[in-house]
Amino acid sequence: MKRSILIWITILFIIPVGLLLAQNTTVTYIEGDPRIKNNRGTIESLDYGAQLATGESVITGKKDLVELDQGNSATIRIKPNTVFTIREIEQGGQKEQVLSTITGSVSMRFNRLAGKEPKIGTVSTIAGIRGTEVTIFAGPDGSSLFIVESGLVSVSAAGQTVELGAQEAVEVPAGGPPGEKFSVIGRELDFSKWSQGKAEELLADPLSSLDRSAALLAQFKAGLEEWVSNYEKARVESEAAAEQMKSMTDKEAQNKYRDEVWFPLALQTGNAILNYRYYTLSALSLRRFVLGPLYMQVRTRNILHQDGSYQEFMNRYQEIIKDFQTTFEPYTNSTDY
Amino acid sequence: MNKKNTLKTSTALRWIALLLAAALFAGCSLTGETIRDRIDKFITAINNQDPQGIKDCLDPSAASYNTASTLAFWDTFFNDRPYAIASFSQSGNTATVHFSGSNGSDLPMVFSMTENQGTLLSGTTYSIRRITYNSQTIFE
Repeated sequence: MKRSILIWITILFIIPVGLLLAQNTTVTYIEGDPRIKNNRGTIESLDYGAQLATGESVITGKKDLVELDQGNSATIRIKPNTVFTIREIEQGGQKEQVLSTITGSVSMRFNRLAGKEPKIGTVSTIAGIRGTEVTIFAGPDGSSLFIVESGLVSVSAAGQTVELGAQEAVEVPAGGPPGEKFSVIGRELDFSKWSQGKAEELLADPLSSLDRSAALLAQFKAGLEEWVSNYEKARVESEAAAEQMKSMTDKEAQNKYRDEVWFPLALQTGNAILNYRYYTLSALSLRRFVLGPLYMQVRTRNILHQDGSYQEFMNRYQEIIKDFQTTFEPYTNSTDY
Repeated sequence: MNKKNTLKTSTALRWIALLLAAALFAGCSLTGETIRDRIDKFITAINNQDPQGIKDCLDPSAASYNTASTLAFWDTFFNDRPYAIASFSQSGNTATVHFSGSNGSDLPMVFSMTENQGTLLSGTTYSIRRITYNSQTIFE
């Protein structure tokens, strides 16, 4: 019990997210049935227009989505299977808000014209933000992943700093320095090092680790579905343009059509493929390097003693793998394995 | 007579060994490839619908190395198969290639290649680092 409380407190401090001047935080958009854990400790339905106070948490289920606004200075998008909390700390004699993603994923957009620019940070990770859209994944092993869509972010952890520009990302292992930054355009997320040396942390609560992986897979699934849909639309137009181009007999007209009509459509289609493959391969990496080793460890450690929680783990694991097979596998091929 | 023949053979072998050593020392290779060779392999893999063959031609350090390794991606741009190389020009490690499709369509692309230094025996090979069309990037 003490161990699980310690882990929970550690996660709360390790998975960082933001540091802002105290602001009113209003619920501006709701999908599904998200909950709020208020300062009295009770959990209630979250209503549109509600004000989120310091110390309160928003909890989303697998079909929920919540958007919060802090005046015109920040928009916070809380994705499915996430717990998001506003905390308050004192820095330089001034009380400031800390936006914390405890588990799951949150995207934030900050308006650079709206006063003081925010900081993101906790004990292990501090990030300064300048006019930024940033997404933070709370990894299944307690690591965090920063993905910058626009603006600049300076991520510091364990005494080292990495500067991120638009379309760049960095992984920060729990308690460790930021890794090498990488471009998020085209390159899938690599989970091969996420679990290294973290086996005990993952195994301390295998079901929670499984749920956190499932939450990440749900994010990838949403991205995949969005881009497959975009791809299907673009493909129809691109193929029609290709047929039209082939039927043209005047070479000059054909080349003009190729450059002005067909190629922009083909490029749009190709980019949609790269994007849906990004989500597919990120999910495949998560399965291979986080879920697979977790399953093997739990199975090996419980070979002689298989209680109810073991069965619960196995059932949940099979459910996640089945969902992976139907969702992601159709978009993989032999070169991915 | 036998001694004379043996001397001739020995001298010839020495000359051959010397020439081979000089060729290898000068950077030539017995088994290396040219940029044109690599692009030939690439378009052959596309014509044969061979995803592994396509992936083998790409530079692993390219951001889209894995995500682009699917036929759906390449078929979007190469939709008039089979293709042949209609014209090829090279400047440094960049090649401008015009492919002609089965209907006679013309597909101009610029390939930026990574030069991979092998051993003296394996020689230099090339992999595709970037492909552009009208200055717009298809793959990198």
